[in-house]
Amino acid sequence: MQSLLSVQNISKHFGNIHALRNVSLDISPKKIIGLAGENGAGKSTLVRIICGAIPCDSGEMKYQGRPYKPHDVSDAESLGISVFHQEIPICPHLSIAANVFLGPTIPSLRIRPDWKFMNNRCIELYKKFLDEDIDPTIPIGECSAAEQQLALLVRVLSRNAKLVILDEPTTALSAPEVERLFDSIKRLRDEQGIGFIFVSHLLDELMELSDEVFVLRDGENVGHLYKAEFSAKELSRLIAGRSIDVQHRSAKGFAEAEITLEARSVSLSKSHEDISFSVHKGEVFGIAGLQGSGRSEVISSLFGLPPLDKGSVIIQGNDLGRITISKAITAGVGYLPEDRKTKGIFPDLNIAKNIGIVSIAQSRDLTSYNEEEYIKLVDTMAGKLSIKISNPKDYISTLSGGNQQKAMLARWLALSPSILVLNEPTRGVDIGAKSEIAKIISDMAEAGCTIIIASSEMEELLLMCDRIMVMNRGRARIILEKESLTRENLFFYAMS
Amino acid sequence: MNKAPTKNHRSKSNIVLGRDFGVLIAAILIAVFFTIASPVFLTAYNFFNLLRQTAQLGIIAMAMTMLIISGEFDLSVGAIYAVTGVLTGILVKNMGLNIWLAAFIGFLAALVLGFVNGTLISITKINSFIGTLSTQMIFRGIAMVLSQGQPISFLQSSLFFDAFGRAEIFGNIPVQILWLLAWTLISFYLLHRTSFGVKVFATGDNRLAADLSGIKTTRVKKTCFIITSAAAGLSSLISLAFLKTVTPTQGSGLELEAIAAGVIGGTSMSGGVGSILGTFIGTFIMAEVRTGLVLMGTDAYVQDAFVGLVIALAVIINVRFSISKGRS
Repeated sequence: MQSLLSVQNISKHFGNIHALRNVSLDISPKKIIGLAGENGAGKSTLVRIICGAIPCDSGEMKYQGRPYKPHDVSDAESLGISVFHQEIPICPHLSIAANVFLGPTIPSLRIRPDWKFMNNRCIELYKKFLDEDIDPTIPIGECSAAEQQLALLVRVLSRNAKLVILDEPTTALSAPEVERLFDSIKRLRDEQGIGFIFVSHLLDELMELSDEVFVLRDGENVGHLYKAEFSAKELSRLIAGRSIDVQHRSAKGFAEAEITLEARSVSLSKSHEDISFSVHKGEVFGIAGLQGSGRSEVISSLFGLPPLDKGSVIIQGNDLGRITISKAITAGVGYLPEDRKTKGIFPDLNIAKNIGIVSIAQSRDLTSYNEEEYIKLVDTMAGKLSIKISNPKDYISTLSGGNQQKAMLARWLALSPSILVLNEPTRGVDIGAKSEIAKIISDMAEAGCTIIIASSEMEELLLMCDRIMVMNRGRARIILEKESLTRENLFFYAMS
Repeated sequence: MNKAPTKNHRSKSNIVLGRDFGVLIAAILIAVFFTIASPVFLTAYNFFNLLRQTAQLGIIAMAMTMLIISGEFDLSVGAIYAVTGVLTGILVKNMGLNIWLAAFIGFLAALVLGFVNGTLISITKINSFIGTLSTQMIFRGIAMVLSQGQPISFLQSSLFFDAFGRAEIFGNIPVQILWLLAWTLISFYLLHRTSFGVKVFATGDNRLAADLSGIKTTRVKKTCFIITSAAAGLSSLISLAFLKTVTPTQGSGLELEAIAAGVIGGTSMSGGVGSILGTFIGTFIMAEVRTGLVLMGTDAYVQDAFVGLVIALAVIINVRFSISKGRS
């Protein structure tokens, strides 16, 4: 069968860095092709070359048998190759129909946009592509993230796309929404014969959705697996170039140890109710649950974000009541937020300030600020957490995701906290950095720090935690420990 | 893909200084242009005159820069400037107070108005553009009511007038320049050499992250509002001393000039980026262009247009700069 798009020996340099070296892919029509690799493996560079955003240095592409050399993104789009980005550009106040048809040529009657036509056509398109009935006049801002994604998918398809590139489409979606999106994608493959390239770093999703997976590492092809050959172990071996080597924590008993943090029926009216647990010195305590189970809200409310509606948090015997951020910090609690970009980094400040900021916040206003002092702190932390930093005066954005995340941890380690509250500590970092962060967490616990982790990745929690509380619809279902701490139990209590 | 560390590990590539350097080059180029165009531009007299004119705007612009870095604006500085002057004038004229005491009370009033701004913005969380637009009108109204719309002149002589606006040190350096330099040093130290300064940058750059790092961002912003009003108060006293007269309409438009000076100096309107030195030079550039055009005999009406052009150019360059920096 003739391939839809074949990419042959593509190379691309940025300065003296090889982003891609002789990469080849073959994309058959009616297939979903997974593209896997760590951050920086060259996935996005490849995608940008295919969709015409940047040219390649050497190599060639063939699209439907003919040489393919797009000048720019709209050129590629007119030929039927479209990208579907991680961050969705959307006009929230306009209707679904308007968002679907927005573009250089809007269907119109003389000078007036033809809303009737657009609405009807929108309904037809939804029926055809997704087999769904919708009201196209609803403002798209009122729809869920998944519905917005689908609208954009319809938008792309309405322009006769033959090959759609899905670049991390699930980051903003909850589990049921992901399922819905995947169903639609599979339907489009089967019924409309549309080809997909699916870029993701989530192994489960890659394995569920793709027919084949190409793996990139350091800008080179390192593997090509068919559906029958998929396994998490093999994929992660190809991606990382090594298997993940996180030591499972030896199950120690902590019942004897001193209780450092106790949550006493903490409630937040919108998300969770009556949650109680206590954590011991040196213990790693996990909070598991699906998206929307209250997992993330429980853990952030331990840091006073937002202050609790009811209940209290007791730290080392002191009842802090409805805890606030400043009370928590004074009591020796550190907090890593779940979204580094919006709640963590200071993009316009240098690395030294980004790492020193928590210590600076604790100092009095008129304390003189000496950058050298914080550069020393950066050096110490870089050594301790193996953060790769070339110059502490560079912007933090020059660091890779994993190193940024370690820098976020380093902020708090500077205060030597007795309790660390970590919300999604490994989100958005590659496999290599994940195991390093897991190691840091385990070492911290070993040194006597109390650690509480909330994570959407259950496998990770299983590896890292001594006990795990499972959340389900805003309630604590159970606290699993020792023998009961199994994968099956975790999924059972989270989902049923 | 960020694997290309430059090997010079501890290169002194201070980002802030690099940016200020660009503004300084611009200031020098403009000076060179006017020196060629007009023989009197590059004289000590003109230089001091330029700095003297810069003093009032510069003091306010530097404080405003701090406020903008923290993520807010203050459109009411011009009105605070008027209230301070008018109140001082009334206290002297109508109540017969000593000028020093009256000036002190006028200055305190400025601080109170700054506190009002800060509290209003932080409690109601309204956009500071709208919030201070309304207080601008209220404060201006206060100045109008207090003075009944009339200018107030001072006929007496006092050391006060010399100290704030009339004395010339070593025979030719206007005293305003000393105030400007002192304020510059204090602001520079506060913003670039203290914990407070780092907190200001962090608050404006990413407020949520700043809150989560334990910075009391509401308090930081409130303090910046008060510093800005203090600058307006001081600036007003300098004007009062120099002109020996105050009007309730004085200082209208000052807020926008202060913001413009900051922007020319590289302050980002979205917060988190800016510097005292940049704003100092930015103010200087504005005065340079104005004076230069006057010396060239340009029509007064054309001057504003030119200043506008300079602002537009500065912003374009700044935007370019932040794109090339590679921020997403």
